[in-house]
Amino acid sequence: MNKKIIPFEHIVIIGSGKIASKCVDIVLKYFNKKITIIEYEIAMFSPFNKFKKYKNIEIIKNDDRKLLTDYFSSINLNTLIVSANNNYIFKQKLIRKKNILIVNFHNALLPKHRGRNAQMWTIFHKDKYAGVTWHIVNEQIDDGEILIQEKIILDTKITSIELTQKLIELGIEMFDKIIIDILDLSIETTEQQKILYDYNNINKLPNNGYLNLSDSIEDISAFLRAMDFGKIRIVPYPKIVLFGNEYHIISYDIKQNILELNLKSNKKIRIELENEK
Amino acid sequence: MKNKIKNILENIRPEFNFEESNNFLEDGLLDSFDLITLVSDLDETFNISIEGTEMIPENFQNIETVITLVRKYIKE
Repeated sequence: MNKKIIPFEHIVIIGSGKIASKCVDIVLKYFNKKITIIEYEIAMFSPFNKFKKYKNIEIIKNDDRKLLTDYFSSINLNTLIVSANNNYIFKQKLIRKKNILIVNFHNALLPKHRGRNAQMWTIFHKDKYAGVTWHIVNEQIDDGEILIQEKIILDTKITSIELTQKLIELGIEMFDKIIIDILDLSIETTEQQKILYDYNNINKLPNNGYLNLSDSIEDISAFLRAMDFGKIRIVPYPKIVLFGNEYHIISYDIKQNILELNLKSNKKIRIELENEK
Repeated sequence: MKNKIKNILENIRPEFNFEESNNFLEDGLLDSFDLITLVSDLDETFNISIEGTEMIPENFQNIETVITLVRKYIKE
């Protein structure tokens, strides 16, 4: 790590959900100075209320990007910012500040699958491994030096919602492993491999969101599982075009070469897929 | 029904006593992923299909609110 700053006097955790909450738990084990929790995209199930009882913790719930930028600009203590399940993009000016170090959790093995919904792309591309990366934030998206990575074999039956859960648990475990070294600035980092992979923005979907029946069984399975976030609509329902009409696929089942789809209009269809020769 | 729901909750988080809590989320007994598991288990146990729009904190505060939610789908 090239940045040289004296020990942290303030830690900010920005994010949502279980991983952000667990990062606070972990930080509390080793740090008793000022902690700020920022809930930027205010979630329906906020996990941070349990921290209200701590005198050294302030909780900010704010989805106004400009106000948040102003807040970050005002930080003058030596500060570690932990970004976990966070969609706020840090400004260049903040990243360059000598008293600030920002680390981010990404749910893929960088440099693969930069950007949003990385777990979805991992499944869709039928990667051999899934995994997590904690990295330093630089002026590019998901590009900074790696603090730690951990991989798991990608189950060929796993859905995006299931993989999300697994990767969050892994991310929490990895953060617990590196936090002490981050706090005493002794952590070693690795440059990311400079390989050109696509960056995926929030609107990008596998096959533009459409099931292609001429794909192989494995590709159809990968598509449906990649788009499967259960009842939480992280991405829209996948769609299928049948006889010129478009239908949303609410649920699916693949048994050997039989594909069963439940469509939004209460239609059910059963398709026999061809095995690859 | 209450016992079935209690068993489902205890399978998800065996370390907690759900009857003692009046707010599972505030008290930290369940997180957002536990709710996904809970809804999936409720669907399977009671042969219902809880809509994603029902996944709001008010429906999962305590055992009684979960019972109310399930009853709504059984009636339908």
